[in-house]
Amino acid sequence: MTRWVDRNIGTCVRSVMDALDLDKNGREKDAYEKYLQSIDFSAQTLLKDAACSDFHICAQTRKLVSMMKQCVDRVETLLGALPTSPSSSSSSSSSFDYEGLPSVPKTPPHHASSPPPPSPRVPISPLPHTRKRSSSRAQEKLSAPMSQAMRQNQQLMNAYRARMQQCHAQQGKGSAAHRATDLSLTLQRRMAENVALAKAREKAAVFLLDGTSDHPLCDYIRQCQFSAYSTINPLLHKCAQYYPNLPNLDLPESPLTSSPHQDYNVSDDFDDLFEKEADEMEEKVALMEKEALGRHFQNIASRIRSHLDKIQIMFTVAYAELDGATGRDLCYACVEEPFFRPLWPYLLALSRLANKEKEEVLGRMMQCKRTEAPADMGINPKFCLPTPAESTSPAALPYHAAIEELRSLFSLVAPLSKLECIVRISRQICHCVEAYYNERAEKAPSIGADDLLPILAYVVIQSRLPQLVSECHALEEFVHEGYLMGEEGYCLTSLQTAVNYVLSINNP
Amino acid sequence: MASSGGHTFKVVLLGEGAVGKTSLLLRFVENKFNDKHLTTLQASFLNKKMNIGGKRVNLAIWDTAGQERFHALGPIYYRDSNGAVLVYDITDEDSFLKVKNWVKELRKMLGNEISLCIVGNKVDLENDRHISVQDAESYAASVGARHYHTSAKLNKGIEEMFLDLSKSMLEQSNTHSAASGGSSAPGSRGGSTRRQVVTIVDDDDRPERRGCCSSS
Repeated sequence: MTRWVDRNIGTCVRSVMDALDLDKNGREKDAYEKYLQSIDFSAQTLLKDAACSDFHICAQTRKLVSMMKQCVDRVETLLGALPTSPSSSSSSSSSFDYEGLPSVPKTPPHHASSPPPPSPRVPISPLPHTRKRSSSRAQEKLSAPMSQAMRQNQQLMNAYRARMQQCHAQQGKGSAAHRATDLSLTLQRRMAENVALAKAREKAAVFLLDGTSDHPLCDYIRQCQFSAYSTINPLLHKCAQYYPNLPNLDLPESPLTSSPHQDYNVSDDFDDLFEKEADEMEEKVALMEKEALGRHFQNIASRIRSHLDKIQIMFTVAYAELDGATGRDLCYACVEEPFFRPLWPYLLALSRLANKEKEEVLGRMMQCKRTEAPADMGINPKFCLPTPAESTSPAALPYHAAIEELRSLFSLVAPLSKLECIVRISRQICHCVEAYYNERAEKAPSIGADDLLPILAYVVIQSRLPQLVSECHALEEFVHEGYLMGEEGYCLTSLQTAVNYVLSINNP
Repeated sequence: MASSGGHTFKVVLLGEGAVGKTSLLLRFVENKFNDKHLTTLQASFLNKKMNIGGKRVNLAIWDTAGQERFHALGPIYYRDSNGAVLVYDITDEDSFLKVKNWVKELRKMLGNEISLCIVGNKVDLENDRHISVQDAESYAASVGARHYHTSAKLNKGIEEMFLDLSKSMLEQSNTHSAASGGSSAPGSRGGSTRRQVVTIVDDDDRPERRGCCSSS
């Protein structure tokens, strides 16, 4: 099978040559376009190639990437030569131009009850200890409350139309007219609510995320963060003395950045860690230490939860519009991400210390069960999706999409976005089953908990990330109670149960 | 995202592998809702809005795995539950014994605040019945649970059972919030429970919820 890179590299090179020619002849505009086209085409080639070859890097891959880099350099230079117009850069997302650029609402204005003001672009949190990366979904969530409200209103509008049609179709005569007015009033109220909330949220978000702001709320958040940080950090340092060979605590996502087709040797990290504790006395101390760590973690968690509650209350005091069920939810969702982003690595490190025995067991189980097919895991035959013959790449594993979703959990930093990711894992499992049965034009069987749990256990094992225990433990402590009863809570509980199940296979 | 007032109750669905929990749940959804609105996860987790005497009630129904190998891991599913539906197969004695076990566990963990429904499913197989109606009903009465006869196949008794359960949970919550002065706060994302949960469970319950399950 020819690979995408091999097939397309000729076209890529030709396209770049054309661009270079245009560039040489002084046709900046055309050259600029052609460069961008080349980059676009190369990127697509790489993407397709990555999907088919499962990220197997070859010489051509590198060649293409370095060619793209050169193109980008030229594009940047050309940018200086091209005439500038102030309003045309609305979709740029570079980090230095975030102030005052209006973002364009994506939905046409006639869907809302009032025309929206342009929403200011919001910078990513420059809070202390901030890491640069952030999930794009969260960014979107924070950057455009107004356009989000517009989208919601559009959905409302569509639902409204559908209901109206139903209404007319049913024709209860007098009652239909009454119902129509009713619906229309509900619609108007909800759309107005959405817009008011979005406005309040926008105002709040600007203060919240502008780290240089000396707004008292922003100040208070920083204080809370610092107080949490100053409790955790000494603890971690103290622990580092006891266990000098800690696994790489501060890099929860390291297995993700390494190429996924290489086997992650889960037990390596732990081997030298436990040599130190051979002595019986030391074991006792270690046990006490561990229990103490668990208590510390719980105390820190409960303090952080009460901080977050206070922050939320202060927001509703400062912005009265937010004082409603939906407003409070939105406010919490907004505050949570910037609050946890700098803290999460520390919290996770602490959780990993408290759970290191479990991680070790899970690592061992993952290692010895990793070759087992779904059928070996006691999954109902209806849901044992087959692996295509002679294929050994991880992309061909049954439930691969769910496995990848689970692996992506570790790159997120806020409990809420992690929770959403966990819901997606269960949904992916359902989608995999549906896709398989749809392909054969059969009706997909529905997945009850009896079937979901064994599949989840299989997905956990295939993720090959033993720190999942610690993630779940930390999440359980930090996810707000309000989310624990809904679908999010159900999926988290199921994932925890799957992890506990894998842990329990160990003692027969 | 729309805010929904009223109460949200968590209901766990318990029962051995083949007693028909999933069919029961699917029946309950399909009756009221159009198929198109179902997300695929709804055979295991389900939100259902009901109207009980003018009060809006939202049920969050949690299916659990009935296999023996998951039994010991169950308790994290039960915590903060307001109600439980315990299903057995009237043709299968073992499944009734399992129900008795779960009743014990639930009462031990959540006391008398949880409303219990014991459900004899598959009444369409009356000829194969192994659990007598009288035994089942007197057992249910002895543990303060209600008993129902259902058939997922014939769509019998399911709606009624969930309605009764909702009423009973409403009563329970009213007496409880009257005693503690708590109230239900509206919310969204299926989480209209933020404050309500707090009224039911005190914060110092936290350490216990891990410890209490391993004692059996």
